[in-house]
Amino acid sequence: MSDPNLQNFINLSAALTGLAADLLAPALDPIKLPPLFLATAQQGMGTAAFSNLLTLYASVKDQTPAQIASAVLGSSDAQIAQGARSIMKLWLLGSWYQPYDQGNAHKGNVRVVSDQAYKESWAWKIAQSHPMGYSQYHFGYWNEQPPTLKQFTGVDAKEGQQP
Amino acid sequence: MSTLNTQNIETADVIVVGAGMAGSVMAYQLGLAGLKVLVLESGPAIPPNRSEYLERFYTAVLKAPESPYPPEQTEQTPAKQFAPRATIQDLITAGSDDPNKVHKSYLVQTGKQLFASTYERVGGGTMWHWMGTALRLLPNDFRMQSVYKVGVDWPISYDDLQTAYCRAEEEMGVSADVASQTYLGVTFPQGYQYSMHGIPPSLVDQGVGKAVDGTQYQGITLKVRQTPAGRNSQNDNGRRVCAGNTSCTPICPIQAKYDATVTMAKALDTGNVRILYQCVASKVQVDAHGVTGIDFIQYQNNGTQQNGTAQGKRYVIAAHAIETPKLLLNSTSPDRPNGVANSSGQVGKSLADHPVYLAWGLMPEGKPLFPFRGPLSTSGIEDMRDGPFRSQRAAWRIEIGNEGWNWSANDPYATVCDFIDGTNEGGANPDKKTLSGVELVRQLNSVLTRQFRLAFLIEQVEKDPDKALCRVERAKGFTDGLGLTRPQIAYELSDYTKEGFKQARLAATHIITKLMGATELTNLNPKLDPKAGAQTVFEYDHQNYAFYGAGHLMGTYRMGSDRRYSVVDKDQRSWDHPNLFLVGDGVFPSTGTANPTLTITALTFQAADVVASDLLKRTVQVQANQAWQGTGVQVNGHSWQLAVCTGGQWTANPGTGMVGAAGNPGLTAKPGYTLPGQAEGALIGRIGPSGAPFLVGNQAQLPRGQQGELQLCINDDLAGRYGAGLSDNRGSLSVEVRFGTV
Repeated sequence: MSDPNLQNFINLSAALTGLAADLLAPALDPIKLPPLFLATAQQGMGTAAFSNLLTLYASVKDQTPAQIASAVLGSSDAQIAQGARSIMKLWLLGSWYQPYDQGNAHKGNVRVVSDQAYKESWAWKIAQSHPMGYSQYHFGYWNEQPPTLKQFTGVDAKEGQQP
Repeated sequence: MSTLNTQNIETADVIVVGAGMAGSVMAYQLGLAGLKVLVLESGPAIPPNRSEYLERFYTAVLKAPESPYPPEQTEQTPAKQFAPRATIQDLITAGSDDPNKVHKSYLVQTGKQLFASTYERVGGGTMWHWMGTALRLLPNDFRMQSVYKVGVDWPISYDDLQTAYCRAEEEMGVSADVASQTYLGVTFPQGYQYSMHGIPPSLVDQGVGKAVDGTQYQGITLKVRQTPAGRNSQNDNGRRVCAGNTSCTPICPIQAKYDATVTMAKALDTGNVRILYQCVASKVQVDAHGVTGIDFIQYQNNGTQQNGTAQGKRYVIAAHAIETPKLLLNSTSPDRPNGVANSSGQVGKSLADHPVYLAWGLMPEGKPLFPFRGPLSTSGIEDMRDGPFRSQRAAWRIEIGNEGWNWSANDPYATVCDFIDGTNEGGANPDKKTLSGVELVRQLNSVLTRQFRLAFLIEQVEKDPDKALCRVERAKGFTDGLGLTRPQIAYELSDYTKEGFKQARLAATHIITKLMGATELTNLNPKLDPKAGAQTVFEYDHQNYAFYGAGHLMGTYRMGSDRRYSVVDKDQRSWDHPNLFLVGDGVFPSTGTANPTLTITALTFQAADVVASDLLKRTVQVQANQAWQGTGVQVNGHSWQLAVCTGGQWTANPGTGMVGAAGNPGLTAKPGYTLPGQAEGALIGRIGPSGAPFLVGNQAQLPRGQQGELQLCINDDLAGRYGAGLSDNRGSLSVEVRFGTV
């Protein structure tokens, strides 16, 4: 897989998840989840469908994130639309949700991609927290307010949500 | 698979079956006392570190309590496994319409409801995934029949267990503040302090407390209280302080939470304890005098099996409320068709749990509680654990969760998928919105930070405790991979228990909606599928209720004061076989509402004292006319030992008459006496020739922290400073030195 594909995969993921590309794929990245996630998505969707997804993305990539999401998630190609949803879950949950029958994998099968995928999954940060079983905080932190959503994810919380 | 024919005989002073909480405390106490102990553990060894367990947990899709522990449940084939266990996966199958389900579940479930709790078979036992809650039972929990005319009384009282509770809290290292735990009759010794200060409340606790504290419900004032926890708030004991991993169950990644492997390590350090792993006790052999041996099968991962027999002077079965009765019931012989220790017929009867009513809610926008942070639970509402209502319905405690809807709805997974797919499986997306981008992040943040749940741990009481509906029996025709008959479970909650659920539902709705102003998401109408057989849903008073297991396996070999209706006596000794002890939560005659581990531990300390005293207690004669006399009893500084005067009379002053071990209350010892300031003629002790003398009197706890021989002496003028000294003294005392507490 060449670099342009990886970059397109990361940028597509950023548009779909609302998380900045440089957070999903930091410049200095000892963990290197993006290539693992690309390979996971490609295998799960099948090479052809995955290629179709990236091709569609390439054609709309200069549009706004909302337009990109609309084009991809609303695609008349069900494999593109469902595969893109699984890629969103992959980033947020660290697990691959098989979107349709493909090879030996059946729709609805779920697997945790790796221990690192679990530990780095974004749903926990969106909850202003940490994965269960992987706290990097210190005794008593739970007694006090967490850092803001923006500090965790770069996204501002809903108005009035934070106390 | 092959079976080696050599019959392996293993011997020790005491044979212990099970290396969980009770087995570890028993082995440690007996090893300290100097007894040789052999532990038979059915599962694999305690690993040198927990990284392999953690890796399995991180990569498990279903992060159920069993998920970190071996063997991995890739296939549900209990008939082929050597030491299969009850799992959440089994429970899901048992409640499904899978036509083969009876062959896939280790527990063969035949009751009206499913028994919903699980356990591990691994070195260290189910303590690996206990939550750390270290509550004491309440005084009234021990006298349900006397006070409320339901259930059965214990043969011991809260006060009888006071010192043992303190020992258990010391062994586990419990973090709590005494002031927060003094309620509903719970008392502590004067000046008592827990090992470590309490765990700070989470933001969820604070939010619930703000809404609930000081309000009245059914005449009771509610208050959110800190939960005492076997979880480090300080690192004095060499283990790390809690970092709030929010995964006490299934596994604490850093062992800030106490578990039985801590105590088992100390047991092994005594040099007197050894463990045989992957070694399943298969049959208890008895004759007219007692147990003569425990047969076992040791298995290797390659399938090789070797049979053996463990022989000792005392036998302790510490395999909890399902595996212990399984072993006893499987130990049939022509003389004992109903198994071992079962003349009462009560072995396996009155299986109990704290069936859980789970309720959950969503705070209004702008009022987040920030769950998914801190230990799984740090506080509870305990004030409704006792009251006059217990003559009518089950009591409960309310555990406040710090893990959002993880238990109730598998979040964050369910809510993330709902807002991506436009579904509403988790309940937070009733409009079935499909979101992406920053809108998705904001909505997930809003929902995930506003979640909370309350778990009501409900007391389980049988309608007729002598004809219990909840039972462990032999599953005839169903065996494990070693050919041992598996446990069959009949489980059916009584109306008394179900009424507890009804009241829990009313209280939950009151707290969630009225007090907290939140939206309740509890499933108030769970489906009861008449075709699926037994389920974790029941119907009561025209409403359906779902229940969950608490992992609290209790009953099945209860203690009592009448051998016709109980399996063990107050010392946890089998009524039928005097050299057999049954320990663990199976001895509980009633469940109360406290998570059982602390009480298991306290009771095991008491049983260990009895076992050690059986084998090591010594009676010595102490002469009035001799100075310090050795007893031959070596005190190790760690065991809890007693010196008790059992008879005799003596005098330090024949002119004032004979006295007992308390001495002459009218005469105070002067300088130069054995122990100035105490009564003349009293029994005095010291540890080693240079130890500080202490008063024994009629009985005394030997001081801990000193090592050496116990020496005893009359309180008198040792050097003859004031007259005849010891030379005119008369008489002697009998003194028994044994294990235990005053």
